[in-house]
Amino acid sequence: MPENDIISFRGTRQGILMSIKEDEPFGKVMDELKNRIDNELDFFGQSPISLDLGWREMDEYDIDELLYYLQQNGLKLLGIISTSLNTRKIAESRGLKVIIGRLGLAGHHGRKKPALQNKAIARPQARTSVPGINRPACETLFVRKTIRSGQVIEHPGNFVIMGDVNPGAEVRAGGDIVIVGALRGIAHAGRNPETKSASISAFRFQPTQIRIKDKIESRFDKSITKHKKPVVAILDNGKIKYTVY
Amino acid sequence: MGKVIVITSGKGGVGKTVTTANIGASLALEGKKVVVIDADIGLRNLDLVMGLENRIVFDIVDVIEKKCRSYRQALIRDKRFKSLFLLPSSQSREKDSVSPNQMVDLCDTLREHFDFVLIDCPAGIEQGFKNAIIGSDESIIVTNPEVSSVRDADRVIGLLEAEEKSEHWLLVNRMNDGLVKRKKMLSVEDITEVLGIDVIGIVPEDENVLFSTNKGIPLVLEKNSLAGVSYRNIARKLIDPNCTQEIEIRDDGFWAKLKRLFLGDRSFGYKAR
Repeated sequence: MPENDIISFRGTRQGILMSIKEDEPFGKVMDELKNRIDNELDFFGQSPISLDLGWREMDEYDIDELLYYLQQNGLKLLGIISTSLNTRKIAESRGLKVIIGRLGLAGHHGRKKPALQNKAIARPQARTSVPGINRPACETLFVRKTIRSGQVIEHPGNFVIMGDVNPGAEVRAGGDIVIVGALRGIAHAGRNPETKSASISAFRFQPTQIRIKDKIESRFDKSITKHKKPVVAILDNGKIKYTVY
Repeated sequence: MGKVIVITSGKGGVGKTVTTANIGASLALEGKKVVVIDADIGLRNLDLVMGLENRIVFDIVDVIEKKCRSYRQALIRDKRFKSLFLLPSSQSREKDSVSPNQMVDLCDTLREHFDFVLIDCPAGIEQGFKNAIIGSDESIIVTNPEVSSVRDADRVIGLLEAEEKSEHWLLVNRMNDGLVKRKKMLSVEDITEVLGIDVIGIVPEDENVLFSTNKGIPLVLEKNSLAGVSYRNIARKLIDPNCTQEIEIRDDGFWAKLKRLFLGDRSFGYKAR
């Protein structure tokens, strides 16, 4: 087993113990996992899997994504071993067994300064859960409710919101945002670093602030916000351009 | 089985306590058996507004900690309305001396013996707020026609929805129609456009509120108070959501009577919404 493997496996009496390198970005881990499972599905058979996460911080989305993928391939996750309280809590809420600890099989070395900056942009920690919104496996998430002050919703794909986004609320999407209602709060589109451009459209466009990629705009021309017509804002050559319909 | 209704707002000073006292009194006036609970533990106010301060022996914390025989011992009957009771809050304790589970139990007990249980929620969205809303069936969100209280109301509605409490009404307090006409104040339409919930009533700005609060006499007993009449109409709507029959203020001055004599019985003066 090479030292620099992102994921390493080990057979035990209780099933397979899977160790994941702690400081690798989660996206890379998932890619590797998919790769390994696709190639070596026979190796797994029916054995349940335990996961050694070390000090890796996982959020709900990460864990749900992982669970979803394992389930798709008919694999059962038994429990996790982790030193992170947060990760353990989330795992527990998903009905997993939880052990505090760190086996350090997958070329682990002590905690370096984690590349937080990238992660913070991709998946910030502060997040208010809005009831009734679950992330499906698909790219675009439909939300049939009004997002109210203090609520933050976030999705790595695109958003379609059938309702208003009120002042003080925030919508964050990896791709585009479409609001079938009024935008009065903050919308941030194109958070996924891989997207080149993104758009924010709303039936009524009176935002507090919009952000597309890293471009922030908080002052809008009255010709855009005053009337009650749909507006599409799109990033074009580093500038946000508005089209009124 | 009675209904448990929490009166909340998020922002302080919008009129939750006065609203609770007056809706409670109006419901009693309609012949319902009502208990109003002051959930603002540590900042006791509702008893003052109702003029019952000197009768308090036991409070809500005593009931929950079982320091009195039953909740009945802590209930105070109103001076004027025989079917209105107050469960006062404690002035010396803090918000976390009551747990959400205990609050649910209390609401369930009271629900069996009263037609309406009104809970006066503390300002803020911390433990006191959570305790106040946890046992409720419906909520009335009080807001003033100004941006900060509307924003806080929006936040509170979001929190109520997160607790899966989706039955809510909006009450717009301190409305000044004159200012709205001059576009100096948010209109009811401006508010509902953002909040998107049904309005149960609009209470106009009325100096009588201040007078009656200081005296500890419910406003609803004053026939000529605009706010008092609005509260009575709100209470009617709580009893029957389809109620269309509204109480109106009739101007009984000499000229108004003369006009009625000639022009038929039309309602002059203000129409309380």
